[in-house]
Amino acid sequence: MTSPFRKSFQSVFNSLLMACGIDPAQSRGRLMLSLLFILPPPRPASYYARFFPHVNFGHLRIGDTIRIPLQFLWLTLMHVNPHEVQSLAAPKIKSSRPYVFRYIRNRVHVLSRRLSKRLHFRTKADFAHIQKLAESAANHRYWDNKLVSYLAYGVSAILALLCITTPFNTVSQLLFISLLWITALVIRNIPGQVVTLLLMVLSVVASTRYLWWRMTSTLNWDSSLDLIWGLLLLISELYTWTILLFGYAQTAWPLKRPPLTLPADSGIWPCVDVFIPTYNEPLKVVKPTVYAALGIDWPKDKLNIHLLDDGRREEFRCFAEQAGINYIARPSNEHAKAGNLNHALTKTNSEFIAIFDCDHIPTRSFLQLCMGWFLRDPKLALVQTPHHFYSADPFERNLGIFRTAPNEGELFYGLIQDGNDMWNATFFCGSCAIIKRAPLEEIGGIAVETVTEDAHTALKLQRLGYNSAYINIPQAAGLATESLSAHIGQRIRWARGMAQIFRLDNPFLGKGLKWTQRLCYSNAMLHFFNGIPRLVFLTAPLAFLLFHAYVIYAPALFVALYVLPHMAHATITNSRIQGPFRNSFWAEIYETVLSWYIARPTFVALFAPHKGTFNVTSKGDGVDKGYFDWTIALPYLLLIVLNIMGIIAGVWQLYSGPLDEVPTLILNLFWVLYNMVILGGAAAVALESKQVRMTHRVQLTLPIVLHLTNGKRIRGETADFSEGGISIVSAFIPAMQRDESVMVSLWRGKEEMTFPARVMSITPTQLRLRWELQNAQQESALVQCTFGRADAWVDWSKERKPDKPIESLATVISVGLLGYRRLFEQLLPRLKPTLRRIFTLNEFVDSFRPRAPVFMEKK
Amino acid sequence: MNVVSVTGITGGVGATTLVAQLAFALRARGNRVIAFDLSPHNMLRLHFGMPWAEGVGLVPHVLSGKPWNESAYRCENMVEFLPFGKCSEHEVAAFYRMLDKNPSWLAERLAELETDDNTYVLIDSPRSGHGLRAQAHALSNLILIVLEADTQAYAVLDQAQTSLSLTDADMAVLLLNGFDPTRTLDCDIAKLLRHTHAASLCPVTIHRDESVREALSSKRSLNEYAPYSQAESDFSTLTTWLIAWLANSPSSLR
Repeated sequence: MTSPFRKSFQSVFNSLLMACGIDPAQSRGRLMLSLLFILPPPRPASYYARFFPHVNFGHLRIGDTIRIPLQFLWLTLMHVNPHEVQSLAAPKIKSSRPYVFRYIRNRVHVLSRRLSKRLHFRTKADFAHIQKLAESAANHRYWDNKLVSYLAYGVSAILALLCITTPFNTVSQLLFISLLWITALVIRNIPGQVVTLLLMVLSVVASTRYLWWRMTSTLNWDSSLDLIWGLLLLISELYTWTILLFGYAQTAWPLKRPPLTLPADSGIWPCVDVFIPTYNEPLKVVKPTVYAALGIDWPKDKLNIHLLDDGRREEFRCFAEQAGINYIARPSNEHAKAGNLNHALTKTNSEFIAIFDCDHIPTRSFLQLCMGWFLRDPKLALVQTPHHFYSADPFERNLGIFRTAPNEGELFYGLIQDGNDMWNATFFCGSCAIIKRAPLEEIGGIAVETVTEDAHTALKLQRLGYNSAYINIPQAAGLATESLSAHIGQRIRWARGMAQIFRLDNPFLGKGLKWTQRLCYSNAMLHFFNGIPRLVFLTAPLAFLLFHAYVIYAPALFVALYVLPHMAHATITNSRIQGPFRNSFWAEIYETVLSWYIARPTFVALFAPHKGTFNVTSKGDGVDKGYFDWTIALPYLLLIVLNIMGIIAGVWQLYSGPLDEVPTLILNLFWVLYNMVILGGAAAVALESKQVRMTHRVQLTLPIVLHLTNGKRIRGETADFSEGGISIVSAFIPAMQRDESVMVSLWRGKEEMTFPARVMSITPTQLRLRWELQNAQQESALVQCTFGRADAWVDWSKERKPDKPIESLATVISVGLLGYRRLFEQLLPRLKPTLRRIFTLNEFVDSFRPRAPVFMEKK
Repeated sequence: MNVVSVTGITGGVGATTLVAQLAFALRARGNRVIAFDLSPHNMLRLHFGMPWAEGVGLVPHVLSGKPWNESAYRCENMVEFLPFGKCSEHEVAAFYRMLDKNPSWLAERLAELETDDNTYVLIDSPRSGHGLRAQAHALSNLILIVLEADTQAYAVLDQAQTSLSLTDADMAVLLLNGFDPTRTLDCDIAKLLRHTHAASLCPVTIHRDESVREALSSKRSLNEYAPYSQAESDFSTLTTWLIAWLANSPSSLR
């Protein structure tokens, strides 16, 4: 047994030997000889240079006289893991962010990754086998026996009552929640539906227990101020609990309905009208939609395309005539889009109606995939497909997370509608759907009583006993909202509309719906009432810190023991259910951004549903230059200021207040910090980044042929394409000049079509071209070769990593800190040069820091 | 042994070039390739780098009584080929007369070869010379009928069955060569072919690419001269298709 001192001396000695090129693992004799007589293998100077990655040996500086010895000393004394990289060639572009932020962010990410690894129990258990066992137990025929199942319901009801209502002291509660938590951690590794349901049960138990405790033992009936705050908070928590439970029920079992093949005889396929309503969008936004609709695979005599122009514009009429589609305009504009569609209903007569927003470009397989279900089920009135966006929404653009994480809409279209489909409660979303004419005319056309006419129409259809279906394959893609204010405007409209429906045509009341359908519709509507509860959560800790009001009248330890399991179980259960569609903790930011703005409209609509106007979401405008949207960010800033005041008050009380209040103070301070992070994230989104190009690029790999003027043809692939141009990668890019003409071939099925283009930029591996299309036929063909491909959106989420709650939390925290940095930069622009100088100095000092050598990865 | 005949539906559609490129591509995948030039134009040898003045070939050898296999050449990349040889019209006629008397002459010659499953015999069958072409087609596992996308080719196609004396239509596959999608007529004829001859049309289309002509002029294989050209990619895809087709066709189980 060698002593640690001897071991460390040994390792230092070994590293010195290795630095001299001598292999320390040889025998003593050879070692002695190598020291004196055997030369080390010759190595190029670059090998040694890699041990000093922060020194540029080609361009030595004065500071290197300190850097080199310091690094040498550090290498000999410390055991260093070399940093392996893919290629040494690409030099890292110096980031403009100060080093401190990067360091904090990296540490946070590394720690979170380590923590999540620790929490993930690694066992050799065969999870697939356990999954099979669980599923066979759940499918066992004994459960079919009515007596057995009722007995089971009864027993579980009693157990649930016990678990939820039994008061525990601290130790018992700790034991109980530990059991729940360990069970959850152990079973979460097992894939499958049974475990998802089990996790839901655990989460419901933890959350209901928390709520029961809140309602029975934490309200201070003595003080009226405490009571008011407490009741507000309690109502908000009741709301969240209701949404949680409804959400579990709604998404417990996504149906994942597959498309049905149509019968081989196309003679019996029904006729379809395609409606493309438009109001004030520019023609260039509507053209691709029309061209792609012309390319839909359906017998030509059974497909009618109609452009419904509420703006009554002459250029649209000419365009419709040239394209060979029908143009419908009406004299007035009442009831906006709903009125437009209803008017078109009177002018057409096909059995089915497909509706596309003017910027939602359909693929050629849309009708082929969706119409099968109509032929199978005569009572089916609606088939809805996801709204897919090929441009970044404000969150993705301003935070720079486009395509790395699921965006805000994916939870609804990827999971919630699929879960709704299980209960036959899919509702119409206004676009990318097919509705049967007869049921629609039975309910009097598209509903006009509320501003969210689409959901209301579906509700009315379902009340008459018709079914709806959801096919979870993106078959059309459109533009996301262009700016944060446009996004919020759209959500306000939806919130107001949903509140109106809740008030005027409540799904819980009235006949025609099953209770599961009522639940699903109500959940969709109740979701938009989260404005006020979210605001309450953001300000609740301030009640104690600023006004000394006990909103939760219980010792801090108890609060922690009840709240933490409630949040933790909800997080891991939601991560399991929603993981691929929304990363954990991002819902906080999305809801916070909207909370202020939807609080009032929903409140007003609940009591006076007919007030409020329909505001149209503008499409295709784009952000000219980057700016910070102060108007939108004002509420968050107010809340941030309030929370800062709360922190100051809390810290002051920590030092000067009574000692027994310290735990409560610390708890509330943590809560305030969490709120601050979320508010920082909300503020970060308000910095609108400049949208560099008007036509959005879509990354998709398609084979192309490059036709050069000298007769040669080069094989290549697209890296990305847009309506204006295309980017090509090839193993061999020919030498070309800027503005040189080429032709590019793209395929539509087996047909190859060529399009003229001009060179915009050229690098050895990539060629960027600008289209120079000469006529409408070419424009149409181009849309059908790119956006109209049936597989255009299939690989959209291929590159994504699975959701890990703790890493997601780390990302959210870093976004929050980013928000504060942006606020700081916006508020104090005059300080920017000074700050920059400080950061440069910081980087200079950091350049002396010894760092790990960089090597190429061994393949 | 897999025998593939390549015939052009009219002259000048690039059948000979196709045979040469297929030979190179098949060889690159490690197969043994023997290319027969049965066309009196005697052009296949140029793709393999034979000097123009050389007159050695299969027919002069056969007519002068020398062993036929001694007229074979082997390239650097181990492709073996038999040129037709420089012959006068009388010599060609004499050869055809001999063939008429011996209908299984080609079959006997091929039977003399020591081959295995990975051997591909590519035959550049002539437009003229009815007897030789018939013999070649009779022992082929696959007959590639090469055409370009123009109206003449399409018009001739209807009579292709009789004019090319195809005994077994299952083995005939139409191959569109020299396709230029920048030209309207090419696109239209291709669409028409896909509509009317869908069953016998090869899924691979060879693009018109200047690199092919330039490769021949510089006496190099297309893979050496322009490895990233579309034509090279097309020939490679065609070879893959060919190997798969031959492996799955019923005639290969003979």
